[in-house]
Amino acid sequence: MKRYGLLLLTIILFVSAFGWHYFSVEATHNQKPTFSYVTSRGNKEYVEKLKLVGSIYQPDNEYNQTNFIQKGEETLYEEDFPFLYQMDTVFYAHPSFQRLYENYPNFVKRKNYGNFLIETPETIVEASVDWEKQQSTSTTIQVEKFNKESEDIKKYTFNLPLDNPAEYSYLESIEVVENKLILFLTHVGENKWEDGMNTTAVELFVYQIDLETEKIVSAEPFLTQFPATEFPAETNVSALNSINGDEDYKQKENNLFLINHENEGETLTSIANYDSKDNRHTILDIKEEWIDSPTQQIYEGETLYLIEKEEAGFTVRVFNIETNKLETTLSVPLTAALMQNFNGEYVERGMRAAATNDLLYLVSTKSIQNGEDVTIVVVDLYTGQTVYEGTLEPDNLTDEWKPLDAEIQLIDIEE
Amino acid sequence: MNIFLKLLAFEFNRFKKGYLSLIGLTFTIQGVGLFFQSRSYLSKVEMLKEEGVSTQGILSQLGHFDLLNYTYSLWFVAPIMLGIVALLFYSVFIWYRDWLGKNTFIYRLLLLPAKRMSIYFAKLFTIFLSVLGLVSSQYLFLHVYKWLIPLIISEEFTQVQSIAQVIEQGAFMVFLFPKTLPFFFFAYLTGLMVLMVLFTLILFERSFHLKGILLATGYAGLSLFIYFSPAIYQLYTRIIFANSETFLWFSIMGIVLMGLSILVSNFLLTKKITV
Repeated sequence: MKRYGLLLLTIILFVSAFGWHYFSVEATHNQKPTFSYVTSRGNKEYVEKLKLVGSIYQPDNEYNQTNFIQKGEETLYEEDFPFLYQMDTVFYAHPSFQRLYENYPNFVKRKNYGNFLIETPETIVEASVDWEKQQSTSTTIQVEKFNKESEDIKKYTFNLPLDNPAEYSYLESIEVVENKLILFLTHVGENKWEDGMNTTAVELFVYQIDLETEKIVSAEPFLTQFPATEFPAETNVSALNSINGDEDYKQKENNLFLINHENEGETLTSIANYDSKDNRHTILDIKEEWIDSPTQQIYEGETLYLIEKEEAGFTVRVFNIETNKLETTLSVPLTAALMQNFNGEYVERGMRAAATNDLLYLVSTKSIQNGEDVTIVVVDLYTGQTVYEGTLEPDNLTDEWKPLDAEIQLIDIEE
Repeated sequence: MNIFLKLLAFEFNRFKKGYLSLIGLTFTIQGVGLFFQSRSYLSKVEMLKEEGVSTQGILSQLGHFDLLNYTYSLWFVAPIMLGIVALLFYSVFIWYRDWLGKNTFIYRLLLLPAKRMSIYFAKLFTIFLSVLGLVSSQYLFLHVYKWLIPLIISEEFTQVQSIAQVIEQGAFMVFLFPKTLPFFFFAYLTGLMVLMVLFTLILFERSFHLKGILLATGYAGLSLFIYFSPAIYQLYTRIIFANSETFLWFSIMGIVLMGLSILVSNFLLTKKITV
């Protein structure tokens, strides 16, 4: 028996150490966080789930740059990054892609990661540029529409006409509004100058395609890069979060896109609106400095709120989308100490905002990630006065439960 | 089975000195390192206090002294590296010592009235259990250091961290303790598979000598190709698998390689290595 002593001791040591460790990991994992807040009457109320609009970016998560766009997402918390992700991020699929894959394997399986996928309540639409069919006068786009209920897949091919000859085209973003597919494409061409130098010309186009009639409804240039440079400029188009989110998804008239256009170190930022009722695109008359970082933009119906973070408070610009005019500018003074809670590396990492019933809700998300109390400030949009300033207290918030994708749940602070 | 257990215990006891030395060395170096690091931290604190710097000022300059930061020091990491290198070396040495020692002990082993694969598995699990033993002891040492730090450093200059947090964020820890139990099995079985492939390579060399080195190189290439074929497929087609699919494919390839290594090793041990 003596000869087995060390062997047995090692096995006992292994079973107890690893058992202890994984038992405690599992126990922590099953603890779901709850949030509570103190109402204006001083009562403590519990919030079952804290919902925040949009993604809270994790600096080390390179898959934030995924082309995948999602809507109607109810996933509230970051999924565990499994061992494969820790070992090698290349072969790790983003949780949102993973969710689609699990729910609609017949369509999502074998999807190319480089393609754009967008989810609406009824469909999943995929679009990609067909590089092989690229011509100097047109760009070919392959589109697949998947009906979630019937699981039918419809395939389309569209030849998009080009105003100027282009060498190649990039898909920047796609959106689906009712039956319309909106495509943002960058066309890259070449300009030949008198001195014989070739430089690249870039144009950002927006196409609108009716998926029912299978017709291209409109093709309009949004931005044309000038002067042309040696390197193609980088353009990034992202749909802005509408406050009411998916409930209003189908009825949404205004659809806003934030366009960042980088050229020779300079960034041009603009907000474009697609009016689904009139099939009209407009670049809103918004000054660069209103949407320079650190700002956040949200909109509801006809109103766009441009929230700028200052050292001691916020400046909120209320912009009317329909009239294309700035309605009012509110100043919301807050103490510098309180503002610390809203400081993230980027503003979107530090805070989330929502507006309803003439109240603007500003919620610090940086503190959620740090496991601290969440600061919540409610501002009257008429007067600019702070009507509520308090905290959401997270309980059981462990490292396992860092919120990544979430939505704001508006809390009745008045009881 | 009985012979396998006896052989396993025998092999394990042969490595006893090395194994216990590694555990002892890990604890000693890390323990001494903790002592020196904390002393150096405290002397800096004292110096700053003498200069009239407030606690807050000291903390903003030096930060807290905690277990998580300590895991990134060379004192902590070096013994882990040493353990990895030593076990890799012993994985090769465990075979060659039987051939190249004073008495060619391998002949006595091969002549035992048992299946020759018992020798293979005994050596395999000796290494595998040594790895688990070393990692487990590291886990216990972490608890000891966690208990020690507040005894050396006053409360205001340290911060309480859970072992789970240290494991999640500490240097090398995620490789030793994968985050979830399924990935623990995945990671450690992958390690076992690598060991099996290595043993097969050694048996190729022992069977065919110089020609065996060429065969072993070929087998190593084939193993790499088989194991990484799902990744090559993804890169080539630019199609990404869902996580469950990636996990499944790598698991299948791992099992295939394990089976292949056992078959080839069995063939080499029983047919090609003669006494």
